[in-house]
Amino acid sequence: MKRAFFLFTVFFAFALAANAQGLTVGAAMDNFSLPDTNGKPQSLADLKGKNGTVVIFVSSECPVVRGYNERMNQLTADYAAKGIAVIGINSNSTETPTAIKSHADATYKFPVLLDKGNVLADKLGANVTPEVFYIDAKNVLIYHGAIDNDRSGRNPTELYLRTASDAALAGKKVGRTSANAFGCSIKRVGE
Amino acid sequence: MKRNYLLKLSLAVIAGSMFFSAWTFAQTKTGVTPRAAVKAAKRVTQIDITALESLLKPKGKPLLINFWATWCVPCREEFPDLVKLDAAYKGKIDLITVSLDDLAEIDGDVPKFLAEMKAEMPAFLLHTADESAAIRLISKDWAGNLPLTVLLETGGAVAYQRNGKFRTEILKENIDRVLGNSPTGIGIFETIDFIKIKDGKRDEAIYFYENNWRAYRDAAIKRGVIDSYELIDVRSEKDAAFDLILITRFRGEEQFKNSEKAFEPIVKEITPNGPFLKGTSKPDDFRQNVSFYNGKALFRSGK
Repeated sequence: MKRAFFLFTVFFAFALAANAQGLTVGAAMDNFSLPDTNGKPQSLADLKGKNGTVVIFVSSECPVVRGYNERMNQLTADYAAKGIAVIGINSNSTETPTAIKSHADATYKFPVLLDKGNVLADKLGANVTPEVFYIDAKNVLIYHGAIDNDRSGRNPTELYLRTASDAALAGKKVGRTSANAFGCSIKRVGE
Repeated sequence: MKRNYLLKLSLAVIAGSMFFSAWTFAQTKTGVTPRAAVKAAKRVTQIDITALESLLKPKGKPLLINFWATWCVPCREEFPDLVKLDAAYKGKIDLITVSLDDLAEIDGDVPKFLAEMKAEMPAFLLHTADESAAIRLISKDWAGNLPLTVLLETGGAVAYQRNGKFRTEILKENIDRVLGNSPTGIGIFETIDFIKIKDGKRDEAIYFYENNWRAYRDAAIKRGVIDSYELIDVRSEKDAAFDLILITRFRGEEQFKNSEKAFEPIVKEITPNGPFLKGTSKPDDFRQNVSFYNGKALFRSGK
């Protein structure tokens, strides 16, 4: 056992603790820059919508994400008219850039950025795919979690994300600011 | 003679009916008992949140629960080891699986996969419109990503929780720990810190270790990162070179080697904004690490 273990757990806890629990509702998302599927750096500032942005953690392999692909594309189209941008993030260490690119190019109507080393996932506290972080025009998080309450898409009774964005765009308070759903784990480096 | 025969036959029919009734009751949504349902292992029982809450309460034995789905690749990968664990600890712990597949799969892919795995443990499928509530009920530290494996002590306290594919050796070590088995064949490794409290700031130091060092380790025990820990307050009439001894024990060399990395998320989760402090003094103001040692137990008392 190395001395570093205790240095880590006791002495340097301050330095390591930043953003550890992830982004909480009401807090602002910092700007980030990640490569897109063509390797070109893209930042939140570049891609954000004038009325808000939906950041969705996705996967090219997760069956649950696959079930949401059509709904995510529909949201992208609907939100475009409302000034809300959609950005996909792939943080899975088990998926190659080539596979992510071919899947994203063939599937999504929104850009997918590659989060190598799951740095953004760690910073935001993302664990599941799909998992949504919906921020307003000032990048403040107003909804976090599931898109809706039906993986199959056959009979969703709670459209969590749409309800939140409808309220926010109407200038109303968002009622439900978070909701979890069962999904795939983001495959982090070293796991 | 004939009357005696009829009496025996009647008793057999009554006993058979009672057994069938009890078995049927075990399959209902509420009142499910893990071992009672074992006879119908390949039948999957639908549960709602109320039944889940009942299932999460151990029934006289430690309870190991695996949350999974057929669409979850790591869940499928770890399942053979779960089946082996069920066989190895049968009678000592209760082991159940809860599928998060769509309800449509309750007679389809779920029992088919369980049959392929030769899984005998009681199998349930959770169906609820509010998965968020179910996730909160299962663990406040969980976002809903599969798989999740939770080991509960007989009293219901969480002894170990693993989100993501479990590592069989670590899970076994935790089951053994909960069962009170002595760590035969598994070495205990230790790290020992000697701490000098500076400028009489004892309250600040104790507060610091209790709310940070101890909290990290309580979480680490639940996650199978360490075996145990101890903070010793040195009582000496003379001025000692140190005032506190911090001991952290690891079960097995693998746990010992991996601990630094395993502690990282724990520290982040418990103290996202830096360690809890009693006053304005920083840790370096109230304590000094005098010396540090690694050790390995040669022998120790059994549990």
